[in-house]
Amino acid sequence: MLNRRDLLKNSAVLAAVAALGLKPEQVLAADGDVLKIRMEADIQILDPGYMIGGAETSVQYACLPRLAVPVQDASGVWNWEASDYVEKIAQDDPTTISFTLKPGFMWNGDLGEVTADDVKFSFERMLKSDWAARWPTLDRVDVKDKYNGVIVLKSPFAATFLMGIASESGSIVPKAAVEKLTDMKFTTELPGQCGPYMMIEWTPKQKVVLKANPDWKGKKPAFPEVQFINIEDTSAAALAFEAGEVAITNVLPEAAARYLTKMPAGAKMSRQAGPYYTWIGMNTEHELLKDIRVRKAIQRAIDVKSILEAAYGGTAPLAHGIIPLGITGNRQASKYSYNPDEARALLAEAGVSGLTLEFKTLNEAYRVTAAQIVQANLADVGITLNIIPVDAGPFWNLGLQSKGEEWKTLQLWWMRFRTSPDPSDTMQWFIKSQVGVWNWERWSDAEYEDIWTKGLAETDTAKRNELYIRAQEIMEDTGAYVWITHDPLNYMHSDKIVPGFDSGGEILAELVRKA
Amino acid sequence: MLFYAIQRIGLSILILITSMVMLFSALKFIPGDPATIMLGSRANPEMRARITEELGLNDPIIVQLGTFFGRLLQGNLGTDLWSKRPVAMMVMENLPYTLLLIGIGLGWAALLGVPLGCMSAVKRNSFIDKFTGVISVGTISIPSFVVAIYLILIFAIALGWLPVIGAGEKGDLHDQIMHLIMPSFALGLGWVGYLARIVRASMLEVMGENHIRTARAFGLPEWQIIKDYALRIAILPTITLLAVAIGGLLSSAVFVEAIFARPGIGKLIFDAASMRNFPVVQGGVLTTVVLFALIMPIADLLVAWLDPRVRANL
Repeated sequence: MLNRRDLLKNSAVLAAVAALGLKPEQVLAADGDVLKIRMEADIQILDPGYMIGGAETSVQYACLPRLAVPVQDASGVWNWEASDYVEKIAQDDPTTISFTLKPGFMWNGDLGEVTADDVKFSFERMLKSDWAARWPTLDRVDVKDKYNGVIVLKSPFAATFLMGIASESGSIVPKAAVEKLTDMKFTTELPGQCGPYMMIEWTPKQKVVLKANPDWKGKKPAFPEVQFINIEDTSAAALAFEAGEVAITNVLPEAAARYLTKMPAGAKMSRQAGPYYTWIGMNTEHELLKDIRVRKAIQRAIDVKSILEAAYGGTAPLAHGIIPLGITGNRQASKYSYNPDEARALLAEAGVSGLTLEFKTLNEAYRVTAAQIVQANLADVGITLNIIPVDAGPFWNLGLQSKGEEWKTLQLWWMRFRTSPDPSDTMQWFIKSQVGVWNWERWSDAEYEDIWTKGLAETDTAKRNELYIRAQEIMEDTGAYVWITHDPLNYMHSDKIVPGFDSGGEILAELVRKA
Repeated sequence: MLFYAIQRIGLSILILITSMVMLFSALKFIPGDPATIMLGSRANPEMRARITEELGLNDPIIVQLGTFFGRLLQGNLGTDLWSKRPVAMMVMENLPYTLLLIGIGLGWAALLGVPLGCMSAVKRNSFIDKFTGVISVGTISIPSFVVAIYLILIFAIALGWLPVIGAGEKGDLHDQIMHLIMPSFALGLGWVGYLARIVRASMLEVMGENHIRTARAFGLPEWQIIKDYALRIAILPTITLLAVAIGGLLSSAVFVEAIFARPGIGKLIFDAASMRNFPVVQGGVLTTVVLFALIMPIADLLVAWLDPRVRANL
């Protein structure tokens, strides 16, 4: 919500920058052996079964083993490869994955070696966790011996690696230590560590300190010490970056736009495709939007490029579907484009005039800015749009049938979801069973359902790509979606380093290199 | 005096109870399901059920209220929903940082504001008086977070003299002091003006009183009259103002701590609010209310103790 204080604060930053002519010269926090990375929120739960995200993910990657890691191929699409911890990992058939751990990877303390028993314990406990949805078809893990095991699926699931094994959900924990914990869960203290780094200090609300693990047998990390500095406010983090107190931070779109025009000395920007998808949705069952011509008119009446310019400072890409860049199924073009004349014609054909609609959005500044552009665009074709900013609580209930009757009156809204790097995760919210849950557009289509089922089991990437592109065409053809963007993650960093990221855009300390 | 003390303490207890009820109600009256708000788009039925259970939202309201008060009476502020750490422990980790920040901020505000106000009253209608007036109004009207941003731009980014983030390394006093300079300045600046205006008004009133005229008639030096006879009386309203200031600074500290990423009760509440971590928000806010409710009667009693005129009217 853009309240008075936010307005004053943002204006103050802009005024200050303008007034001082800001000379962005800095000493960046990547000199020597300590790398300082801004973390947006303090760590809360490091347990892979109950984690929240953010820096927790970075700590898990750095301090816990996993069988596979996500990698981007030459075209920027996320895939996976075997991690440092395994001799081999391979999909033997659609429902079995065998692995062989390398010997000699030791947990800290007296917990011994990382074994196949630890893998079995770690994966099977995920089935009863908050993140069980990442492992929808996992049946069990069979242990062959100390280092060998087989992951058995109940049915084929193409995303087992990207959503499970190679993700933070695939972090392996020491069985012996976790079994001794209350409820077999942990929060901010790792029960055992084995990774390129060791978490040696956590000062709540201040920092997390990782030090290179002297016993690490894999590739040595570039920095002997990494500090994750907790700076909650993103504008404050940008100031801290300019003051040289952190070497990497993500920045807001407006700040990214400013930096792109005037890059501080010694700084660089890395733009990472984000795991988000943003769109304007329409309720296909609402009386005023039942006619597909009205929905298609709205699709064509909205100038998305202007929205990207005004609300994202021109730093966000135009979306053509819901699957973000870098994920199989990302779509490169839409069948419609901004065309107010066509919109007027469609409305005339539908016999609609003097239409008044409601647009609901989370009460955040950039979303309200975007809504105002939509309002102006629709006014241009004769539709009056009333913008209704909504706070988080009621907003997330708007389309939930289990939460009241509001879904019946819901018309248009601004929505953003986050996905893991597999298209099945992105698409799952729009199947028939999700109508009234997260499919607020309230449509269903037999072909889409069929694609959804096939896509889960299909392991051929090219075929999956085709399937998911077709699925997005079906979505677009309902007229219920105006694709907006895949919100990018803009990172400012010292030019002395090359940052590394996971598929969700989190900075991975062990992948950061010296330039 | 004893009756007055009981009255003031009673009022504080009433404020505390009202605040507790309001804090409890806040969670009940926010629109939407608290568990869904906390989890956002990643809410699934299992997680929602777990959070609802942990917050005790399935119990009847009266049971929830009873549990809430019962816990507070035992000094139990609840548990962080995510990290499972006791909220009381989190508050105790952060409170000293905020108290230090407020203490230093207010201390230097008083060091500047009181002499400025005094000078302004003594040199009434002079250039100094007018200049102080402009400075006072200026500092009162600039929010602390705006001051904070300009300080960072000038002293950290442009000049590179002072550190921006955090509270300094543990055990390194010099580093901790360096980390206190900008936040305490940003926090205290607004109160320089307030204090100067109050001291000026109070001094002008006192300087017109009979005992000051008598002192002058006895030929005492002006500086002695000001120091020993005028300021000692004129300073009394600032004690109450300082108590009010602590309340104001507790809320301003939220922004200053957020901008400087400095640990403190304000940042704790701010961060918890952004995570929708209601037990921590409740615990943090309650602590600030308790602080305020304690400070106000102490200030009132102090004034009554110091000023015989107030005592005589009790």
